[in-house]
Amino acid sequence: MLRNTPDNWGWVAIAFHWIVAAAVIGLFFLGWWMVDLNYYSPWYVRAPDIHKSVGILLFGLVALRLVWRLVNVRPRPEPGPAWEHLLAEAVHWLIYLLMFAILATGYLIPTAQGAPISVFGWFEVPAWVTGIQNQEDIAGDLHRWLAWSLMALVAIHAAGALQQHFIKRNRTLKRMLGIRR
Amino acid sequence: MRRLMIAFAALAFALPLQAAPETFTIDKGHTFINFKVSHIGFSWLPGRFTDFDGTLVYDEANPANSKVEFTVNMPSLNTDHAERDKHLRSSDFLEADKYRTAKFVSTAYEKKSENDITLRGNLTIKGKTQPVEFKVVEMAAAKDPWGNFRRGWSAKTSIALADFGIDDFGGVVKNADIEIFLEATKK
Repeated sequence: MLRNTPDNWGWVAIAFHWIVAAAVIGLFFLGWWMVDLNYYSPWYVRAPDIHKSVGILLFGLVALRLVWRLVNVRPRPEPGPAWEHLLAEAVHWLIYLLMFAILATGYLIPTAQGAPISVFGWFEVPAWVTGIQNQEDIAGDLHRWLAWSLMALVAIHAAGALQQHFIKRNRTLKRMLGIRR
Repeated sequence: MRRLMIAFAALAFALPLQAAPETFTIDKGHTFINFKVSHIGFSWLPGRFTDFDGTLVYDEANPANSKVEFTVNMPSLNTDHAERDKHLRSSDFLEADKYRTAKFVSTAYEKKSENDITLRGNLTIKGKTQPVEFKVVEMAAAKDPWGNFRRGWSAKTSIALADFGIDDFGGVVKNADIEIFLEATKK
């Protein structure tokens, strides 16, 4: 099944979830690593190019994912206390919010003086917002702190999934892995 | 031809009229603080600081009385490449958010001849103060087309990055050449 049902996630939603998860976590560690690269490292130019290219593609993917989420039914959450559902929901939306904020602030760094971002040399995304005083520095600081905040949320999100799986022994995690019992 | 001669005559009269020390207002639109460093030996990397302020006193009769003081807003560094500017302002190089201003205060202006002018002073970057020596060229000094008495200078020096605690890539990028083009109008 491609689409969601009241009991299960469809394959499209599952693919969106795990691809975005891999990209977000990959970009975090790539970004963390690349900012301290030595000037003479062979990755000094390549790593930021990959980071920027994947970031732009992720922006498109997250936007599509959000549309898919809004036009699909959401599977009912597994039984549990209201505060757990509320927390899960809040963390989900905060993750979306932070992803967009991180992608936006990341975009504002290299484009600060009008340069476009090349995505693997396939196409270029032009600079729309430029010339804010010290834009690249401000956007860079925000980008870093938002990324760390997102990782904290990701940790809560993952801890929640593991708790549902190992302690409450329900289908929350299995459903996202496409396992139908 | 006749018009040209009148212009020359006007200039000849205008020039020798200066005497006492004169205070000038720096024309920021026509003043440039440029620098250039080696890109690890390949070519040059030029850049500039776009935000600065200064005071200037010039004494034509006794050039030794001339004085200049400049402060430069370090976050205004610009090398036309956002990510590089961010990196150069960061703690890897200039720590521009901690050491927000660089300062130059002159200590001597020595005009041995028209072609041998030296400006000495103390330059502070990243909180470290070092004596520096600029080679100066005095350029035009005349009434400008907009009603002010205007002077132009250029000044050049080279500083060792290590003297100011700026990463010099282990000596690969030893120096920064600084070149200033300055125009100022008489107050």
